[in-house]
Amino acid sequence: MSKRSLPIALAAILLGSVTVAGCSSSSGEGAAEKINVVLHDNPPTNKALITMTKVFEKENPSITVKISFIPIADWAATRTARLSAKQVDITEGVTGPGATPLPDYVKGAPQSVWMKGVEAGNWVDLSGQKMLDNFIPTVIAALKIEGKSYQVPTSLNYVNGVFYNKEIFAKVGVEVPKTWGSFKTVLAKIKAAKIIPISAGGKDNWPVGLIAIGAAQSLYPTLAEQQALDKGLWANTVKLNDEKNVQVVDRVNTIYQYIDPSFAGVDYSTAQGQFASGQAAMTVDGTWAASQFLATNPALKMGFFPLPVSDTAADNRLGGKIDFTFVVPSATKHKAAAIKWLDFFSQKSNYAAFATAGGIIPAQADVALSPALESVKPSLTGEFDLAWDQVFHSNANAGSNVGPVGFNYSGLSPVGALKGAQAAQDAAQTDWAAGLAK
Amino acid sequence: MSEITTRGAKVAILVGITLVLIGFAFPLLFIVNTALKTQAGFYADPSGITTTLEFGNFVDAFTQVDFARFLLNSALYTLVSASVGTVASLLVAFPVARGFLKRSSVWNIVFILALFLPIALVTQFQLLLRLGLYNSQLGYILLLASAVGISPLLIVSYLRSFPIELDEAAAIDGVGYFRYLATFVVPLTSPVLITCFILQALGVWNEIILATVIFSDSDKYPAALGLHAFQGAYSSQWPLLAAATLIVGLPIVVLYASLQRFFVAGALTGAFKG
Amino acid sequence: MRHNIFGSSLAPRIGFAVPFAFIAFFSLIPAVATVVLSLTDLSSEPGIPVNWVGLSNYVQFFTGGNRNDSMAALRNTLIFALVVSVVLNVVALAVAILLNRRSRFAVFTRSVVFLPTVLGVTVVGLLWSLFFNPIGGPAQAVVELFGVRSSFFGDPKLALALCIFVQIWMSVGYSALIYTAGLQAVPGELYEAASIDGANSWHRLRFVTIPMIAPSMTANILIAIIGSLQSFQLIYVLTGVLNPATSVLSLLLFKIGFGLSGGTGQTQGFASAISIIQFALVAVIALIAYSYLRRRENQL
Repeated sequence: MSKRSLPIALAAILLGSVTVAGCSSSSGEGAAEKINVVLHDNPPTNKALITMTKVFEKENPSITVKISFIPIADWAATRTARLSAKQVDITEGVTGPGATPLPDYVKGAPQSVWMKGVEAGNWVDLSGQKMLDNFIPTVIAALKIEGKSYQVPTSLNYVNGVFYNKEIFAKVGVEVPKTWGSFKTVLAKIKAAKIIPISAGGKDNWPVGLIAIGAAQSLYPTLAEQQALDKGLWANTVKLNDEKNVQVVDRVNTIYQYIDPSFAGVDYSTAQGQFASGQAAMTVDGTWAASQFLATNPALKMGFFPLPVSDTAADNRLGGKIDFTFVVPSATKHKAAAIKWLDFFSQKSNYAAFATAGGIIPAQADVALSPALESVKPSLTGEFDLAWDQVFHSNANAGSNVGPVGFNYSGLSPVGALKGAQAAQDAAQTDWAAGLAK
Repeated sequence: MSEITTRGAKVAILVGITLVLIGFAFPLLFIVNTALKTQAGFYADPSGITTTLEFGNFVDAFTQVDFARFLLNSALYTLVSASVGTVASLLVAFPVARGFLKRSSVWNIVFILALFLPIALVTQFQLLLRLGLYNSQLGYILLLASAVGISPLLIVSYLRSFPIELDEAAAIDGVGYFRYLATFVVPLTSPVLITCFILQALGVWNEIILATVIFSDSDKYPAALGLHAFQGAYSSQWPLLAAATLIVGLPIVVLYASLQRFFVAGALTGAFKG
Repeated sequence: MRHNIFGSSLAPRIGFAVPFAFIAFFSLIPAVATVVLSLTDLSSEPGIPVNWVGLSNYVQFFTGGNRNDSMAALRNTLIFALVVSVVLNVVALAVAILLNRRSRFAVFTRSVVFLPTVLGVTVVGLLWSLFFNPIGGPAQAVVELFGVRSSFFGDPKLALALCIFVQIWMSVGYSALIYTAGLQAVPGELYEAASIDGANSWHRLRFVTIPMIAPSMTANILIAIIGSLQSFQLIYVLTGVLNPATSVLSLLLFKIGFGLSGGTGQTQGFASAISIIQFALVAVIALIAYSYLRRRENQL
């Protein structure tokens, strides 16, 4: 397998003998600068960023900022296309396992596209920028690559929460469950009262993935245990269809039985609507959703607890992730203006306003929690544990039965066609083994 | 067709046509019904007959997104691409059908291969980028106009069913090549040209993937993509979505009804001589 | 080369060369370049070094850890194309024969049947998403009469069948239009002669109608095969790219080529390889069908 670099050969093939100068230049230099910010669509943070940018433009009349919010379904394709066309000055980076180099024990898997891009110098090195000092040091440290920073975090979020409707709980006469046993009782009682116990957006796939992450989080409650599982899987000493891993999916399967029976065809925002409008007693969602629920139904009396999948109450803890980040492509012609906007965003007062309006868990210390997160507050412990999918190095060369979580929530019936936890994890293990280096 | 005589057969045919009509009209009417509901009314009874006439949905959809612009974009893309593609198809097909080129049969094989080319999304995107035509309406039109598909083949086989003596008679009259094409060949082949135009136009009209990748400004979106993006943003607000769907659909229905005689089967007679 | 009756051979050559170069530049060459890309690890993000990787993308498709996904997409593509091509043509021919009369009712119905084709893929997609909406859609109301609830496009056993149904519903109008054209070209005397010979309606269909419209049938079946092997816009609108039950090859390559597989290491090179595999599949099937249909035309 020869590994000669070939962009020139490619360009020749694509262009034939024609040479044309790319002439999609943007605004002229000097007077007015226009920066393009391309982000995924998320209504609460959209609004907060638009409000903030208006103030920024007033203070910096020479810079205009155009922010595009791209619907999730088109997000990846649009980001790719915009970057290729060099029509973006700020976009989102990557968090989680793909954000940093693969550890030594991961063999035979390709590096993430993000890492390849960093190595190729595609992103502006932001190390030493003052604004980074405003954020929680461990968050900045978690995103560092060989001591350098490329990403400005926006927020943190917990992913394995259960939002519940207090009025329905009171009506049915159930308390907030702390263990798997009591959770099952709550589910059964609500179902017996002819109310949908849980709503979930199976059509969009990732929302039900939160249930699987939550189950893994409870049954592998510490970072050490999660890292051991990750290492064991890559060393092929632990199998995805080992008894304990089947148990994780078996509990996911139990929860599936209490979701609205047609949930596999329901999209995320409909599922959110089912909960917000009081048709479902609970929904499994990240903390970012709280402000959306209140916006849909301001009268909603909701509470929040960590998804309790373990029999041990102490093991049912929240796991989270660093949410979306800002990055600046090296190809930008407006580096200074882009950094100026990021700097403005990071300033204490601006960031506090963003956190309040956006309803996110702040990534800066000493910022007050948004009123939208009132329901979440009691569950916060002051520690921030990573969720399982942030620790697990999945393998792009393993199929969708492994997916980003390793626990086959999308192959499991009724989302997929596999009946029962054993069948789902057998399929996952087959794919995982096939993807390991020979 | 032979005339049907028995009364039973007539009734059967009437019932058959009615069933077909219901099968196609009912889903269309259902969306009208949904568009006239309020959001609350929809939650209360999603599939029942509407009790409100909520025209506000149309106003809301129209004020949130500029559907008129999307429709104009689509009209532009469709008309220009399909016209250019049809003319190009005729120009490449005629010399091949008449054997004016060396190795006509080779060209015919090229046409057959062109029918099922691999999907070249990645390379076409890179091509436009390097030509400076990213996010340009021209680039999008050029790509779609070049996707002629089955058209050259159809025209070749249609032309072969016409006697070559016609050409020769015209040549004796001393008519130039392009003049001859325009004044004699185009009218003669109009059924197959209309077929090619419609085929390509339908392809352009329904295109959303290339547009997703090529346009960064949403005001260049074709109607199909504009509606799709709207669906992404308002995915659970069905009355609003239904109204948006009708805003996109109604002008097409009106246009189709008024241009229907061009679609009628007669225009296609003989276009498929094989 | 035939003697050119227009005197100079220049005009036809220019007339051919310019549009052919245009088609080649924007459609043929990018398609051929896809073969080259399929031998590389071109990334979905720009500015990342590209390497030759030989045939490893193809090996990965057939033997890698994702081969379950690849094979599922291959299987779905074949099922989708086969069922759509067969059922569409049977239904369209039946509808064309049924509606091939002069009554106003029939003419009106004919135009309604053609409507979905002109309304386009997103309108049709939205319409049926609403119809099969699991929360309170009319289809759910019907299913609930039997005491069950279905997730329709979310049900792995049902999703592909529903996509096939919607694809056929959308395409019947156009196929029927082509058949109608063929039917109207059949001289009425043939039917009269057949009636005098004592042919019943089945015989008239089998021995008069079908042989006479064989060319329309060839065209229709080919358009359906090629169209359905490559089509994914409707499935994209109905179920998105992530539903494995409706993943077809063209959707898989879009998902991988433009990074929807979650920013993982899969490349546009791999997507290009899928594109070429699909091309080979379409070419083989279409050529076999074409030669069979032409032979049959001559026999009828």
